[in-house]
Amino acid sequence: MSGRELLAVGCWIVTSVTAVHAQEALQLERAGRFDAAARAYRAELRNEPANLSLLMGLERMLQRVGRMDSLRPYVRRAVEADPGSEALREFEFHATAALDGADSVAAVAARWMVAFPRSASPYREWALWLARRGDTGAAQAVLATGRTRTGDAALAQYSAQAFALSGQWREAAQGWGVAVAEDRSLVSVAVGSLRRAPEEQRNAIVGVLVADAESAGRWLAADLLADWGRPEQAWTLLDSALPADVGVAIALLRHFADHVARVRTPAAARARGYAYERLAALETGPAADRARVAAARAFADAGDVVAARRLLSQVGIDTSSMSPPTAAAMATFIQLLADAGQVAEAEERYRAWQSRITPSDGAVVREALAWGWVRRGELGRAEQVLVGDSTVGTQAVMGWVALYRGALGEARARFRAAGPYVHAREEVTRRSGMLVLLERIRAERLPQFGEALLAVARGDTTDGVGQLRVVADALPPQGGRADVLGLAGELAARQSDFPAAESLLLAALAADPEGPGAPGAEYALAKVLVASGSNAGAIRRLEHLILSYPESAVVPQARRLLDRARGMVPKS
Amino acid sequence: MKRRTFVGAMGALVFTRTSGKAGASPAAAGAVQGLLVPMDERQTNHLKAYGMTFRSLKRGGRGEWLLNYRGGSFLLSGDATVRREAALDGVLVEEIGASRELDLRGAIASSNMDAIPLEKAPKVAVYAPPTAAPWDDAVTMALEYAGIDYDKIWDPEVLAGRLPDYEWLHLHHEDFTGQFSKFYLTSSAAPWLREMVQLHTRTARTLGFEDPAALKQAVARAIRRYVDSGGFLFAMCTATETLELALAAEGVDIAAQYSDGSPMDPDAEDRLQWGRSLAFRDARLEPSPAIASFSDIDGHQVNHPSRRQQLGAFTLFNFSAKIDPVPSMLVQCHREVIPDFYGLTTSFLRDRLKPGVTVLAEETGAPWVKYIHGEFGHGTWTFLGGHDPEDPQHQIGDPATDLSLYPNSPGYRLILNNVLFPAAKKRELKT
Repeated sequence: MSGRELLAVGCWIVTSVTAVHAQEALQLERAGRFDAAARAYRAELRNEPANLSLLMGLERMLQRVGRMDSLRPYVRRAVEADPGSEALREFEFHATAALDGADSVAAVAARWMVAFPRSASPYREWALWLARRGDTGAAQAVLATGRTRTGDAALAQYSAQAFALSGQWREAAQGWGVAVAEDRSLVSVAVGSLRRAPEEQRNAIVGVLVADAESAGRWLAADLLADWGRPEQAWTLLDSALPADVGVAIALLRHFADHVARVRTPAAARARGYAYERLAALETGPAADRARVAAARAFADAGDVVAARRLLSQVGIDTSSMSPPTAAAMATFIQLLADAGQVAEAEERYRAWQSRITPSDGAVVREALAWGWVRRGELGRAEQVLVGDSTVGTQAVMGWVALYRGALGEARARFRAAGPYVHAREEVTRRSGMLVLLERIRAERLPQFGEALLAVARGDTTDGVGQLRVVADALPPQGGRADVLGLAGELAARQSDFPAAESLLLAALAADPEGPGAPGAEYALAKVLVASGSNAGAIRRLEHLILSYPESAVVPQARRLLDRARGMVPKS
Repeated sequence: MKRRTFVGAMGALVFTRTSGKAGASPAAAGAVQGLLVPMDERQTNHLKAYGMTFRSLKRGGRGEWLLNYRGGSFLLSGDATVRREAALDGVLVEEIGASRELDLRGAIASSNMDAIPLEKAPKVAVYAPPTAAPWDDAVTMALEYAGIDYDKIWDPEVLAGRLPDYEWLHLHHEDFTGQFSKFYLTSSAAPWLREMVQLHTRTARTLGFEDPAALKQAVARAIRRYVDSGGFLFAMCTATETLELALAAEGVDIAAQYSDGSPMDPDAEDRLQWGRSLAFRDARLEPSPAIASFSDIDGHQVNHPSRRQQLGAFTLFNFSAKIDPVPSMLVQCHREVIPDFYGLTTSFLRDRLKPGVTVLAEETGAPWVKYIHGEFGHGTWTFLGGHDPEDPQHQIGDPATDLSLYPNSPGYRLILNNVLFPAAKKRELKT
């Protein structure tokens, strides 16, 4: 908070009789009667010329009515009435800065320095004013004078701020290095000042800070690197600059972990994991375990199964691990194992921990396990994990498993039972789309279709797309053929196999040009054409789609794509 | 102030549209005659509606601008192409029969509304460096999104006398003081600035000028001559303020040393001749070369840390459509109050406006205004402060605004009003 803002806050808490009169002026101000409010402030200032609250009110009103010039005599009278008030000196300085030129500002600053010889404030305010005007050299000269008279510590940060304001980033970094060495609580202010540095200056700033013998410069550099999207470099730097004092090191590690937690990238999560792991080594007892759990969670977020496993195994050895954070970390870890294909181990851990994992975490873990088995092609084991679970989420997963077995009727029933509210939006959309397709196919059993979709679920999209084409050929044109071809086309497009996608989507449109799936297929085809650089073809398709199916839900998306294909909006 | 008048409601009453065949007699009451493009809150894509109207005029179609009627609607001949474009662009149109048209004209005649015939799509030029992408500038973004054709011209074309080829000229956010938007000292290492300096310096030398500042003064004078001889000028952001400074500073060095090799004339402020400018007077120059501010014309001073003002909202004036059709056209909008947006020049201090300048929008109670208009010789100029109506805090390097996400932007509508108003049919000037 600047000196001026502090001044304002201070004024608001002044309680005096004047406050009652000032209230009238404030009411006029709130009513937008700025001229009348200015008159009221002036009248009260005749009685109390040094009342800062009234003076600031008058300043606000004169700004609103564009008559700031008439503030001068009131400011002069205020300082004469109370020459011992530094707050009034500061007000005088800012009023002069707003109204007059550099000479007047310099004269006011000089009077302030004489009146308060030990105060750093006049040097600070004058220098910042000069720096904002672009006169960095003069600002630095004022700060140098101030430092000789009041000591380095009081003004070092302002010197750094002045350099940062004028874009002299190396000098700013040097200044901040000195300032944070004097006062470590300034690290966050320094980060705020240096964070804005342009990309090309950042390595130089880090170089300046790292070259500093003081560790504080390295801590500052670590925070900056984290803010600039280089969290792993930030960790390396901090790790090398951790002090021997365990208390300070713990505080630094906690600060760093919190700092990088604001960034949601795998690299940031990994850096957070390193920090917590180091913290666990410094802490003892339950605090150490909590740090290990946090580290495991962070590594799990980063997708690092090995590190997460290492940390969790230490937690298991050290404690009976009944604490909720440990169980939550274990739930994350089990999901991670399942996603990584280590499903048997994941299930084993789940069985061991299931009584300690919360019901909601348990449901998520079971779904992850079921999908893990599906990806391995073991549908029976997937069902086994879910057996006895009647939640709607499970209904949806069981629906997919039934579909992969070719039991289309059961899949339809389970998808309907799951409804549209459980799971993330993308999954709900995928499920709803599949339900629509199953309604079009009508058959109760179609094992080849299930096998094709299972191939896709197991990651073999090319094989899945080939099988879907064969399945489609066996279906009536308006009894699912167009829809299955459309699905195959979209899957091929997702793999960037644009020739196959175009061929499949064209076949889908040819199979049922008037069917309900036609707008979606045509939109998907246009996307494929845009992606493969055929904008003219895409424009023709999109125009046809919009004009032929004006009521279709894909029309708004089609219009946006049309704008893009025509070059009417920037590429995003 | 002089007032430009246009063929009004009486002329429009005899304007018959046809439905399909040219020359067909007016349809019976209730039969479809034309298309109303409502521009009130019901409109689904305001910005594309302007483009659709522009292209209809360009094809030789006829239309009317129904000032203050449902947000400033358009009445177009309902040919198949217009219908097709409306469907493709998602523009709401309403079929209108003879009886409804009579009701509509009755409402216009009895209220603060007017029907202005639109006769010809203006030929549009945008003054911008050859390297500028359409997404650098709000006007070119709006033109691209609406599908309005324009030519890009720059210093060589202006000095070669090409401006009279166009009815409407927009100034990209150019710095006519030749100081590279005063980012030279603060962003000297940035590649975009280095390229800008090289391009401007090379162009100045190629065209026979010592430095970019001298070149820009010559260009500014050519633009003033264009307006004087009947052109329509529209400028936004810093082009407004710096064009005026360049005009007032003819023969006076107001450029920093880094730009032209010599420091600003210490007496520059006293030597400015405001009789040469279009809109402003008595401005005080910003002397620091390191502060990206030019003068005290701008009320918001976005790059001046101690003078920067917060953004508020500005209110459009409601003019008499029948008496003041030009300002009425320029403020047609479905919103009366619009959130403000920063630019290198965001607003214009009232104290700096010349007498006779028409204020089109202001922030109530603030010492600045947002949107102004005036006449000069046989032409007109219109200035709108700010850079991008849908990116209020725009910073260099920000991603370009995707207007398909803002099809109903009231701020962008103001820009497109300016593009279309030269299409209105003029008649003799009255005083």
